Amino acid sequence: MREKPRKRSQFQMTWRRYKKSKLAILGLAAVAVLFFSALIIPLFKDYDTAVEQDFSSRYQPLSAEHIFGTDQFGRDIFIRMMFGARISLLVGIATVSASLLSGSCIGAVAGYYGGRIDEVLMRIMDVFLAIPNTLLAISIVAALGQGITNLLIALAISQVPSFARVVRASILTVKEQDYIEAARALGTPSARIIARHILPNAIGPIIVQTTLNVARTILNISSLSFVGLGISPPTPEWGSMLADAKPQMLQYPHLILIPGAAIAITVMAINLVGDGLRDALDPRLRN
Amino acid sequence: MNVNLLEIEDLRVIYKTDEDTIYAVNGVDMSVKNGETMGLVGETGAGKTTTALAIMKLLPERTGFIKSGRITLDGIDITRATEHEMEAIRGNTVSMIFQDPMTSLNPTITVGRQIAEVLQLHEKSKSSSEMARSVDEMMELVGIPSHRKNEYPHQFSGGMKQRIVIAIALACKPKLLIADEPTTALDVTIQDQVLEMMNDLKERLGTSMILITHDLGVVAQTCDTVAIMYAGEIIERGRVEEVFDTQIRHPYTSGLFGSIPNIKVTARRLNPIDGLMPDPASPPDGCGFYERCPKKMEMCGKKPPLFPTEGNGHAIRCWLHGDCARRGDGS
Repeated sequence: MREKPRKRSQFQMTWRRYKKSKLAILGLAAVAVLFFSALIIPLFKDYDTAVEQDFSSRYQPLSAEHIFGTDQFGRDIFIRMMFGARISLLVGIATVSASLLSGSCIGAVAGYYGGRIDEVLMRIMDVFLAIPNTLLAISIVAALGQGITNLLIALAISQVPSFARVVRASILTVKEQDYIEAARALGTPSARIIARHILPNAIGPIIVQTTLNVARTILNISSLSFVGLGISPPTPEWGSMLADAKPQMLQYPHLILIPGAAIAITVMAINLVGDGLRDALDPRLRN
Repeated sequence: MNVNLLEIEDLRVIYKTDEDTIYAVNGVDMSVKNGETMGLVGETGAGKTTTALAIMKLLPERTGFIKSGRITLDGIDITRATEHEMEAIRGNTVSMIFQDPMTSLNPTITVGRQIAEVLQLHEKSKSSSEMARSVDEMMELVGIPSHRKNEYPHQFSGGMKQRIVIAIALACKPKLLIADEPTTALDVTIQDQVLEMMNDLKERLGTSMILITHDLGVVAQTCDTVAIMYAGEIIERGRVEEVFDTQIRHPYTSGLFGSIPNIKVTARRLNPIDGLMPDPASPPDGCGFYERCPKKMEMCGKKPPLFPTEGNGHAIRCWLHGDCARRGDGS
């Protein structure tokens, strides 16, 4: 008898606005393809094929057998690219999750409690922000020594301040809203107010920042690997592939063009998704 | 029935900022009986909302302080209660409705779940099916079909949002409801409906109410007693009929009545009260209304008038009237 109510959640409304931008959809499609291929590649090819050298088939051009050709050690570039995508996405998501978690805690505490706690925490964050991101990561890697764990730590630490700032700012705006005061007037405890009333309303900018930071991290890993501080060969990593190809770049331009394009397209696609999300979540564009 | 649910004695609230101290509430005494509606009237900045926030103990942290006085609500001294004790009191014994219904609902949670949340906080023993039933009941009570409980606040009109806010405030059947200009943001027809509904619900649930407003028409329509606030003090109080049907009033109250348009009389202009309220950062020595008062006398600027000490009826805080005038002569 009762008719089913039309339910339009915030997620659905966001998706409706997100779809309107063609570029954002393109970016999302590209990211989806990248994720999917990175996910399924081990089902078809062994990781060993990406690292084992075969000197009988060096510098092969693009062909049906080797879609992107082979490099100076005779390894199939396509397979290396795919395994490289796994590493970039894995490192990107892992470091961003770690920094999101710690940055959010710092930002939430600073924003909600304010006063001296806020002052102290945010000044520490400012110190980190004053050092360029990559430089900070390089110094941390240099101090801790090379290796994938240290790389993760370095990249995560260098991103904590940006999350702390964004989370703090959105909590500050939401905290002043009438419905927070109304929730307090109903006897809701602080922890519940933060979890149920503040964070869901502050999530927009945090999601956008997360997406953009994933793109930045992928770029950072590649840069660090390119200068030899990141993931070291023979691990197939886009940045180190670029570095390997550098001496032969005039004779075999595809060696450098393919990883270069992959980095550029991935970063751009993720940024497009981030921009699309920012537009879709912007409260000024509501209704 | 004649027991005072809320009693406020000599309440003083200050706001401390870097530059100066704002004396927002300066010695308010008032009481609300069980089942009674009190209208709290005054212009912007008179301290009405501050008084309400002090009762809820929701004054802004780090700036707002209760300097002295006592607030007794249902036998509990609010000024001494801890934050943890207050969490159990808020929403359960006393609820507050804020001015703007558009912004007092959380946009990311369905209205049904927002009503259920208060029940979860204060009536933990209820099973989830009982809670769902209470939510439906509350929605029907405020005149919103319960099948709309899974919708989000933005899918409702302003008047309906305010009904939902009222449903949330009354869900735990509080003993006291503080409504801070609940109808100011609504248009006149909706205002009337909402007020009527609040009146009706209050009767049914036996709730006492403090209605903060600057509309004397609303007071006449809904309140039993009225207190008129000016510059952080109550300057006149009494039963509604006593204050409305008399010529013996505080000059400020006369001014308020004088600035209401009268349809029986052709007037070219309304009669507003000239001037502004005294600076709350440096309250005057004498009567707060001295500068603007058309009937001021020499002593008004020197000594603040007092409330009559005896009697519970109509009281005026002015040297011109009653007890105050007599004592003024004597000293």
